Amino acid sequence: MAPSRTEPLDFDAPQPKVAYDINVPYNSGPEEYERRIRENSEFPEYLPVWEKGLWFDDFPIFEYHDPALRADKTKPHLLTSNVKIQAVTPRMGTILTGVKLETLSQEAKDEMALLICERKFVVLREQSDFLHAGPQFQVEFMEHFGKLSRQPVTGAIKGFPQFHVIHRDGNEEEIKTFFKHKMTTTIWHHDVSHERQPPGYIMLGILACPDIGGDTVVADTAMAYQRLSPVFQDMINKLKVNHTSRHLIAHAKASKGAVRCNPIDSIHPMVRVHPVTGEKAIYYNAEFPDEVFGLKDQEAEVITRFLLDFIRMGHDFQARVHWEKNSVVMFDGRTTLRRS
Amino acid sequence: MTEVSYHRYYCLLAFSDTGTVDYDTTMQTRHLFRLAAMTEVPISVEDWEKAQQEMEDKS
Repeated sequence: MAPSRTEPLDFDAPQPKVAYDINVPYNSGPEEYERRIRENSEFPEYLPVWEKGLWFDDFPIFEYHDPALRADKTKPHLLTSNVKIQAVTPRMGTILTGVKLETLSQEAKDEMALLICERKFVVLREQSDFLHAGPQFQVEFMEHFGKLSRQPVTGAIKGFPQFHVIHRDGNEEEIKTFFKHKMTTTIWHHDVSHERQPPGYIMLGILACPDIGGDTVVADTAMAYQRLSPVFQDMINKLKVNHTSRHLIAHAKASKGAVRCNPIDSIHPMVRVHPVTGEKAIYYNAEFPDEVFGLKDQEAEVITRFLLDFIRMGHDFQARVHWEKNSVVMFDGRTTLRRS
Repeated sequence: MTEVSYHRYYCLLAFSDTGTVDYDTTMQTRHLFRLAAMTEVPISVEDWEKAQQEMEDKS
């Protein structure tokens, strides 16, 4: 039988000193804490749960047709006359006000996909109706954009393992402990890049957020690639990288958390080409890669450190998403690296 | 890289990490969900160029 969080694990690693990612819980809290959180939440059905005995086999490779390739480039179904459009920066990020996600036609969803490809991320304000439409509706909405990934270790919604739930409240002691060992809580990341077909379209729905703080920073990794010299581009074009979920799963096991699948290793190109825009983008993050093919170890250490340092310091190809209540944000996972 | 610029480089690294996102003990409740739609197997530059060439040859 596959392991779940309520069964003994054949793993004697010491309990980790700090959270793998302070933004995400890897286990439920004490009963009294859970009860108080449920009573005070506007969305109690979206609080993270770790269901028993849930196990996923590897996804077989599937054929994928990007909805953006079907879209009308002028986007008449999405950008109707009552929609207010605001750019976050000249190059990336668009804020749309007046779109009702729950009523979008198939054509409008295709156009949304194209807008996400072109602008890297789209912020949709005033989505209370969509957020209250329930998990089944939201899953069906997102399935328009691709097959949904299932969470290997983190809390999900009961009956919907496609949901990755980020819920933090009252964990001041954990944060203090974290800062005794770490300098920053933030991780530059791609979502589940260890998948063989990693996510290209990602939705974040905001159920509760502070008035100030907790922003997400987005880096445009296609623009970062363009800033490199042709010689350097040619060199990294040839590299391949192994992305693995081994460390994530080992952390969850050591924390006595849920594990729902075996570790996955996938070899991806260091530079990937966007099938809709044709842009070349650096596909490397600080979390899942563990081996670069095509370089010696010391060379790989220098090159990967340089790439990540360059992306995180390049504030002229980054944008900051400020969360507001009832917002939904959709990202292009192929040409962005995010920090939250 | 001189000693001075090397030092400045690593100071920049340290502070660029902490200057972008705010998350500390004063944070209030934060509750989000993520749904992630998986798409194509990442396409390498070599495979893309090969596919483009094949398309050109056909046309």
